[in-house]
Amino acid sequence: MEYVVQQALNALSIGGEYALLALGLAIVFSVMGLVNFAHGEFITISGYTMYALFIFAAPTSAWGLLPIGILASITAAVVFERLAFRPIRNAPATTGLLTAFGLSIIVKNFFVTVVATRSKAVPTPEFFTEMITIGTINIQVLQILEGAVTGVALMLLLILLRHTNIGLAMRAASTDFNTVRLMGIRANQVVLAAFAISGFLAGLAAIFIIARRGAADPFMGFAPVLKAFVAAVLGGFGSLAGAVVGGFALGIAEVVFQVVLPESIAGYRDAFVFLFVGGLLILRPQGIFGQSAQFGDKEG
Amino acid sequence: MLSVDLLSVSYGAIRAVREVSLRVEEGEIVALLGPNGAGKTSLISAVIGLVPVASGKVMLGDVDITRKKPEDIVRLGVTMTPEGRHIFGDLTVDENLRLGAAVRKDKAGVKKDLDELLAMFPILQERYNSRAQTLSGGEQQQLAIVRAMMSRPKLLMLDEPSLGLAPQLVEQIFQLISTLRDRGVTLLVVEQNAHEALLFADRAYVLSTGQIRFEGAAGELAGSEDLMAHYLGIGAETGAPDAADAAKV
Repeated sequence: MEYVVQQALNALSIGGEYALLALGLAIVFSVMGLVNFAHGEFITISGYTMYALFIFAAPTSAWGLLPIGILASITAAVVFERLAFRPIRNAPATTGLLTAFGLSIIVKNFFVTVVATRSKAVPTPEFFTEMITIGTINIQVLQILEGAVTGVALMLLLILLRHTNIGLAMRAASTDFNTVRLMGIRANQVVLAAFAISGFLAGLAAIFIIARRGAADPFMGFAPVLKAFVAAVLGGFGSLAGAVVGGFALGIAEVVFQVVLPESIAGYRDAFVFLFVGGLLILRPQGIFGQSAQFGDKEG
Repeated sequence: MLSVDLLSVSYGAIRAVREVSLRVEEGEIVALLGPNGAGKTSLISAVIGLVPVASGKVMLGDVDITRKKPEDIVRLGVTMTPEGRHIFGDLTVDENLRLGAAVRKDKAGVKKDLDELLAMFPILQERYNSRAQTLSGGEQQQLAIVRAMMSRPKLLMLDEPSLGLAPQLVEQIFQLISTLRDRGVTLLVVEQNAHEALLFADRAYVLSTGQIRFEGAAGELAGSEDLMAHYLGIGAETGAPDAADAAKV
């Protein structure tokens, strides 16, 4: 029983992390058709900002680093948009893709050159690693927090998308940006909001990633965002609900394979997970929530 | 209210609109007619800033709106319902209308306009919480028009409001359009369906291969079979050239 609950929580917290990252990718993609391969760099920038603050400001408590980490990720997203993506907004999709790749390489090498290739310790609150006992089950605080924070973030996002003009505009822009502009809504604001949200979600994920690794390195954003891409594709790229479902599905699949695979081949877990995702995509190429064509999008 | 002066629009080497001048006075309903590919949509898209102006000038009252962004032009009181309606299909009727009023700060005024418009377009009241893509073609057209009206425009440009609608619905849509004038809005209506449009318009322009071929009172054009046949290539009794489109609602 304890084992099952532990593994279920594991799946939820890993899935939550993928969901946060996949959702950030999906929001930017749905609003402006950009596949942001530099998304992982938000995590890296977040990590190094916390590291720098820890070194130079020497805070007495690690709690103070957390909001700064999130803020750094949001700022990075907004600055990337303003400096790199806005000038090429109307260019073909491949231009955006290459720009994102370029940004990603620049940021990674910046940290390699200016800081170091090897990782730097970043403290997070000790509270995160404490265990709490419910009945006979021991649970790490971090896992509970991860699930709870993901849940709250998703709920806030849902409220934003349903009840604010900017949220409605982002949903509408995913199918028809020009018509959104005909409502008098500023294109720049919609895109900026999409990036800011994407950065915020990546910042949340970054906190948990750093808490688990205890360190920042120049390539730390790569693996989680690779998984987030898989999650987003699995859910149907561009679909927000799909990103969340894809994230959790991937998290669950990882844990299930981890548990059922015999120890001798457990090291190949990711290969089995990707095989499973590949199989699903053969059955449903557009992903779980993807639509092959938008009904009612354009007629006449 | 709106004056377009020697406006040209180009797509690469293709000149879609060539030095077109037209005026729309306050309170008028003006029809912009012409065959498919004449440049009608390009012309009003350039007015609202969705496609770049190659040369010429667009004035709204004394404000030069040439090359302004669409969102800024809308905030000055001009809006447009695009061809093919372009309602936000994933959003509900309610959400579509809220976006229509997104630029307004007067909450009480928005509520009042919403109530009045829903009374004029009761089907939207019935379908208020439905996803817009579940509406029929005629309902979607009404939604597109009411959504545009929610920004309380001074000038509303409608691109092919009858496109894809059954004949009996076409008349209904035009009747609704003509009642919008009573709400103080000036209308520029782009249409292929010349007969219906001319019943409700005050004046008309005929555009063909990017140039204005005729301008004058709607009655003058509608009353002359020669003019209709010459400029629009249609006989008096055949109705819309897009009858094939009208069949699929």
